[in-house]
Amino acid sequence: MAENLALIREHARSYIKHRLDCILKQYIARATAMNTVNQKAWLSLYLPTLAVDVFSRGRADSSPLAVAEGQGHNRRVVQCNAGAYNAGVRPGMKLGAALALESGLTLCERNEQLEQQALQQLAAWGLGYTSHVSLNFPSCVLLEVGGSRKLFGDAVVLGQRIAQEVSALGYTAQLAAAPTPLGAYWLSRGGKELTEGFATQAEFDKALASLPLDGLDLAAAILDGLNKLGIRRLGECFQLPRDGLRRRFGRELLVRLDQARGLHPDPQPIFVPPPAFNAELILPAEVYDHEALFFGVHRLILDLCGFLAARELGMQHFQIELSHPRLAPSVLPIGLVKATRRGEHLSLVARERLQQLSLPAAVEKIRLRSDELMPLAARNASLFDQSPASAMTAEEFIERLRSRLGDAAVQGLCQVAEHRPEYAWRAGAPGEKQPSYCCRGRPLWLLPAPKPLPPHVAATLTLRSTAERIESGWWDSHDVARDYFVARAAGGETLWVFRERRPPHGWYIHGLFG
Amino acid sequence: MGLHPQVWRANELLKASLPAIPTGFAALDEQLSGGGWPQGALTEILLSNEGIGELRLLMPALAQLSQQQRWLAWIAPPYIPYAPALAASGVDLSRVLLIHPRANKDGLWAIEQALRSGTCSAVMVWLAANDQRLQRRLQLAAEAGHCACFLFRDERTALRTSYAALRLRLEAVNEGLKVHILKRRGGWAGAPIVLSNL
Repeated sequence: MAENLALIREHARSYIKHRLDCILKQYIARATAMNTVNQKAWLSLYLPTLAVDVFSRGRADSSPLAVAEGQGHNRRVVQCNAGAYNAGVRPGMKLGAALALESGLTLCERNEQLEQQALQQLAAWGLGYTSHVSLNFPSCVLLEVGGSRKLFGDAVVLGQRIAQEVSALGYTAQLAAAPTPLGAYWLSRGGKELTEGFATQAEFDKALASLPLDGLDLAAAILDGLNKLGIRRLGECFQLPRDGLRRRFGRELLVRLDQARGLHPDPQPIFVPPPAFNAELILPAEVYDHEALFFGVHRLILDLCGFLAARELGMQHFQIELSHPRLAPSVLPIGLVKATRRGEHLSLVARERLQQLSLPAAVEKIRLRSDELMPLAARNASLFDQSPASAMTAEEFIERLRSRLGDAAVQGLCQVAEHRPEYAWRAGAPGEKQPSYCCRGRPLWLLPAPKPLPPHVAATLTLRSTAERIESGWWDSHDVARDYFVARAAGGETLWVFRERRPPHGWYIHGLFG
Repeated sequence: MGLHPQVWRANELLKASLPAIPTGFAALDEQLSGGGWPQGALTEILLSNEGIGELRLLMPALAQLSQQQRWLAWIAPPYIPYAPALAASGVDLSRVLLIHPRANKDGLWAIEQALRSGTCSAVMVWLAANDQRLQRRLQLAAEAGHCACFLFRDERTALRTSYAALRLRLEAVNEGLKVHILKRRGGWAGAPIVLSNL
């Protein structure tokens, strides 16, 4: 007996030990997982051709385009698109040389304000992926995606998705992910392939070390000094004695090198989006046809939708302004039945409206603005989506119709508490809810206005009911005094006719029992 | 001795195979395949002139359809659909949508949109849609949007071929409305029915 007891005790002890081990293992695993999730990951979106992109995104073709800067003889090409590059145009080239190489070159004056605005829009759009977006570095949008991994997948998956959407917006971007903001920025400038985050500090250091110095945004004097020392890559910089580096190039460089490797804190200011949407698109060449115009409008609508989605907002009114040279801009206000932020739908509505617009002159600039934004929570997607892909909501259908037929051509129907038949109904907004009043013996068709019955027709009618007297409206000078009858015509129609109670006692037809 | 129950007889229409909306008239339901107005298909209603009871024929079905959260679209009606009479027939007025296209082309576009969008439970049309190809397109759109489409047309077009799944010719008689079924799914054209309780 005692032996049995000892055996049972032994079993119990080993079982408890096993359970405790399991729980401990689970706990450690969870803590490790939490740790990786909480780790910061910075995704840098570097826009190497931003100066050209802000102009070229407004049109579909890729004819040669260059952006120039400077005064008089010193005007030089700053950036150019692929079309111009293939023709031999290079950044830094004098304008005369560029035009000699490619006579069909479209030249635009560099517009830094527009570039800044483009970065702001991208930042506002980036808020859809993370709450921490920063515009701290030039031509770069920095996203902290460490907290977004659970929803969107790791930096590579998210990066691919972002790269796709950025190119739909009309920008060229180089992406890189790293544990430090400056590291990500430098890697993205280097144009490295986006890889799965760095497992160890050594691996990250190695990637940084291989970056050439002249691709980074170091001050010209520092770069020059380092070049004179024979230092071409970042890794060689890391190996230099810190003391000497500080004495020769100042503390600034040392701090930046440390920040890139994560040895020095590098707080990033958080981007705060503007309260309303107002963006413009300057077209590189004047546009005459609607199709080309719509291309630009569509780009702006994508911007708008990204802005709205990031902030969980919707809007009911927006406005498209088309600027013409030497003429007042054409303004196209568009109202929607219900607040929305669905890009496809907005594009459809805008397209129908644009096609009806007759342009007084060529368009050189498109502006899209929306001031009245309202909260619009995202809907939960259904697990088993059964609706067809093209299904639209009842409100979207109304907007679609109205955008082609006009607002007045699509209406709802309401009843009005009124005795005079012509005032007992009115056209309302589609879907308007109104109380209904029961009213028997009325025809389903009403004539827009009572039609006099010629005497020879009146003679063929047979009355099928007794008179219903309607006398009302003495207060608003549309006084009626009529006796209504249901009558049957020779052709088989059932009519609603009345006789005026006042001289000359004429007969009228007012409706048909359809 | 009766026939084996599985033997199909031509006088038995395809009862429940096609989606349909009961017309509200038992005598008519019996004659129609699926027992009512075909859903997701075109129905042609041919008449000599308006005012003989063509809308009253549809009212029970429209009243029932207006309970859905979808529109009842009236495209280019010849007169004003009178709100008090519609409400008295039990139609929810907030579901009624009046569409007055200016040009015939816009009207045809609107019909196709209404049918295809899936946001309309019934579409009533008073436009000439004689083109064969156009009718075929409308038929496909009605199928896609699961929508009942009623085309009101002049009875003189009765001899033309049509893609409509159901074709009725209405005639006003002293007792009420005489309905001639010219074409229906799953059976030959039957004898005319007289509806007196419209």
